[in-house]
Amino acid sequence: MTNGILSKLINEIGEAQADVRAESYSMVNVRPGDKVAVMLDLLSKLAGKSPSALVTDEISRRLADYAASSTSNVDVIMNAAEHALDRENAYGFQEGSALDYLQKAGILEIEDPIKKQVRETHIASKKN
Amino acid sequence: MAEEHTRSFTTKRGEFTVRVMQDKLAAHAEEDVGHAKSDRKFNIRVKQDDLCLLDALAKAYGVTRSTLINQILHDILRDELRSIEEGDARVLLAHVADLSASYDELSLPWVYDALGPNFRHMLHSMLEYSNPHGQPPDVSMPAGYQYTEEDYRSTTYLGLRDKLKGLAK
Repeated sequence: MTNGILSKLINEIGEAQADVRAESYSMVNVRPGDKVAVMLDLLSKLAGKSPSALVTDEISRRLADYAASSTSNVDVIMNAAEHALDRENAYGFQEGSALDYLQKAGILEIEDPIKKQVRETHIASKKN
Repeated sequence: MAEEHTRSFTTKRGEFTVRVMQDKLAAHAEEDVGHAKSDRKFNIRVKQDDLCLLDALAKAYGVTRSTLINQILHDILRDELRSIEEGDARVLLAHVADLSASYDELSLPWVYDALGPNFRHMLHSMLEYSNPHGQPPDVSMPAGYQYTEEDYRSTTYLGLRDKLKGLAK
């Protein structure tokens, strides 16, 4: 098994794609109620950060918690993973995203086409 | 102008005329909208993959993406507030935020979140002793006297208590 050369190549592809996808954000316009708005304003002033910078990463963690909070969310996670992986150049999830947290927690597993091919080749070579 | 907002109609008891004072209504409505509605918008950066999960969760629970984000924002801010260990600092931050907010009757202010267990303690104390300090009522009675609720409760409390007991039956 030529795992040295191939695994290095696979890792490099994965890292390159992760770098590209890590920068992939959307701006979402929200109009929260007054309660949330005043506290978000206040904390962002105290922290010297924009409201967005204050919550972006935490939203990912919360989303992962929400998704993991119920066994009835299996299809929800599956649908989201399919949608995320369906996008161009997606071989994995964005670093620090909720799906990434779920994957790291062992709740979600993916096998990308390259890894699948490697595994099948490995099995075939063993049979022969 | 007043004519446009006058309506007359006949019932079994005779003719009624109803008039709505639009000027007063409009002034009141503007006041209400100014207080209850927040126009503040925020542009929040969300990771593309998070949007996939947000949308999937929102669809599954029958809410909009915006509603879900608002709920998440509320939970984040509430937990940040509760993470302040010093009670006085926690309440101060909550109080300052509340001063800028215009709540409707159904909203719970941040101080409620900030007080948390203390609020429940105060609630228990009010129900148990009719004061928020957690102290038994100071009732001057002869030594050995077993005081009852009637000795330290307000008359309104006692009346309301009896009525509520009646409802529960």
